[in-house]
Amino acid sequence: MPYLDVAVSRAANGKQIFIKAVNTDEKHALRATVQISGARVRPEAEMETITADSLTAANSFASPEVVFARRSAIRADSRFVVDLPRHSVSVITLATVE
Amino acid sequence: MRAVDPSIRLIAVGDNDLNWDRTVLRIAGANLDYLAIHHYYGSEEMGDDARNLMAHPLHYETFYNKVVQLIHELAPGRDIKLNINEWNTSLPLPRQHSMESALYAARLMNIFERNQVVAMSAVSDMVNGWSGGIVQASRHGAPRYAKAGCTRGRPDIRHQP
Repeated sequence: MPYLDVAVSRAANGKQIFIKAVNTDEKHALRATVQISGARVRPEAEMETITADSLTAANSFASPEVVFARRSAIRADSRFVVDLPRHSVSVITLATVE
Repeated sequence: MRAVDPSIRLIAVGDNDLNWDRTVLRIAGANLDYLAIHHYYGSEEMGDDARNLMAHPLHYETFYNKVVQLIHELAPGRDIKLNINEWNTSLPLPRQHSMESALYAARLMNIFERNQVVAMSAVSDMVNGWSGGIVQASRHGAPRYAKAGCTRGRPDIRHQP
């Protein structure tokens, strides 16, 4: 079973590309290479990741931030590398160049 | 109904059992627009191996290909799509709302996007309903709520609350 699961989509107006990447590996982070074909993207990109310290972590009314979303700026290109934390869900948003 | 309003779309009850889908398509395929199928997976099905939970969404990808073949065979020329109008894990609390459950949901939603035959989907429930509701009504949310917003960019996938 592959640990990495990815779906990619593009906004109807073509201005954004969304990469949805799931790392199901409980123990290890995963370094993935993204290669863009058929479009040019701006270097300024954003990655939003949902993760937690453990696979069993769950939010509760008493502890609402155990599972959290983290947003970070990343640098994109026609080919670039991203690090996906262990047991995480990430959405990478790329802006296309007209 | 269509005599009154030709724009009406018909959704028939489908199933994870291909034999059921075969029967429905054979009888009514000529008039259908969607098959509605529910996906629940959890403790009872996965046994003691948590890797089964992470892998199970990939099973649906294979299943969708088989349903497409049935549609082509039994309702040729009909562009019948799937409406996965209930899906969730079924795990005991707090595991139901854990990061583990979120990974399953995220992979399944990726599979909805990768398979053009899936035209609509809806998590069950959006708010409360049962312990699996992805938003438990309070000030705080559950982990899968954040993933529900991650299908942006696919207006052809309509996620119903």
